[in-house]
Amino acid sequence: MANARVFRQANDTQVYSASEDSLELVTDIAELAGVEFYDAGRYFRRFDPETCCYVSNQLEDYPED
Amino acid sequence: MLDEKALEFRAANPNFETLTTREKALTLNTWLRTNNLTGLRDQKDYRNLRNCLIGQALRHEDHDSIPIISSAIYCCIARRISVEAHPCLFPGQVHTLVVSPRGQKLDGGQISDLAADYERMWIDTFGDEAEVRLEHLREVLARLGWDVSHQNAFEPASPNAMVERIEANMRESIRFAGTLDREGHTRALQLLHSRGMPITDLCEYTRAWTAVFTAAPTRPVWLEMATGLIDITTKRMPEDGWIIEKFLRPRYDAATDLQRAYEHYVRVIIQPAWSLFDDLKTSDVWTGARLRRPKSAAFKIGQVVRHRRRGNIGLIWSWSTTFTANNATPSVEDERISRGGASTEANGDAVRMYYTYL
Repeated sequence: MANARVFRQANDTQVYSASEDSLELVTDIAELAGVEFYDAGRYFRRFDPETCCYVSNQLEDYPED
Repeated sequence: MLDEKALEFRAANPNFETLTTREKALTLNTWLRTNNLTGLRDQKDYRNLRNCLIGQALRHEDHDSIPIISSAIYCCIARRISVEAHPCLFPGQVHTLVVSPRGQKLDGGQISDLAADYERMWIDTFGDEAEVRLEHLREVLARLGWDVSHQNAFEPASPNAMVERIEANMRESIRFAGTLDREGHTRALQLLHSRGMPITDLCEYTRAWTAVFTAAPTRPVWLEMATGLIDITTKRMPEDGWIIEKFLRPRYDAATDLQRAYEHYVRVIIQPAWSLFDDLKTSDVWTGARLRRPKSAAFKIGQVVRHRRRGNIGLIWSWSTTFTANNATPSVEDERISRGGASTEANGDAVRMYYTYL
């Protein structure tokens, strides 16, 4: 059903690659309203609203992040 | 939470100990209903996934639950106030059975009949009725075309049967949500802290577990269900691998005659799974790749970014100094390159992202 397809995109689980120049930082939490990151809990411990940043749980592999 | 509710109930009914078993059972039912802890506010929301989950029912301010969960809540609190109660898997609506203490009647006094040393009553812990007579339940069964001697409908449900029925309800909720429009779908699958596809994935995972519990271990279908569960666990929930390893693996390995019929599964799914779990046992001594970030890298892991062209929001999940295609997994070469020196060519520094659409 067409409707069902729309839902799936709303929770897209695809991983994308991009180079730095294509990206800009988001620091305003308001822009995250309604956005959900599928499986964020696997790689991040919690969200820090002050820095608008997720605290990494991958310190073994990425110790400086 | 259930302990608190039991204490609240006791505080609200100081004369509780003076009541007969029947009065106790009915008083609890009324109290739960008045405090909105059982039942459903709006019948139209029957198929909301939230109503199938006891944790959600207890925590959510509306405390909505389907009959089987309402019965479970009743029985849990009843146990805390020394009333013996069990859910009964009556078709169409689960009812609750209350049993009098050994040797006593429901309305007080000793039982003199040598044939049985307890009495039973059935309660509607979901709808508007209170006590329901056994004759009435039998009539309903007869009207449904069931054999009235089908005892299971009136007897305490086994944990396996409870799990099976709750899982059937969850599955029906998800199927029903799929028939709704977008807004209805979101509302039907909304839990207190999460919603959307992760939930349906988790429900599929739940279904894999319940299938293994409810299949008889000596039959071939059990092996199929166990294989399905092991497959899902290794692919999506490797952190639960230890449960499989500890409880399921010995049984699976012992079912050698069943395995013969499923030799293909064993080779393609099970052997890799056992290797993975064996590796995981020693994984605590592994060290990570320890990739050091190039100084010029603009973003770090955890930052939220927006793609300039596509406009969607993403979360940085990893980076590498070589560009990899979308959805690819990191390769070992990244480690070599980053150790070889901080390479900072203009478009050599790619950032891999974890994306979701708005």
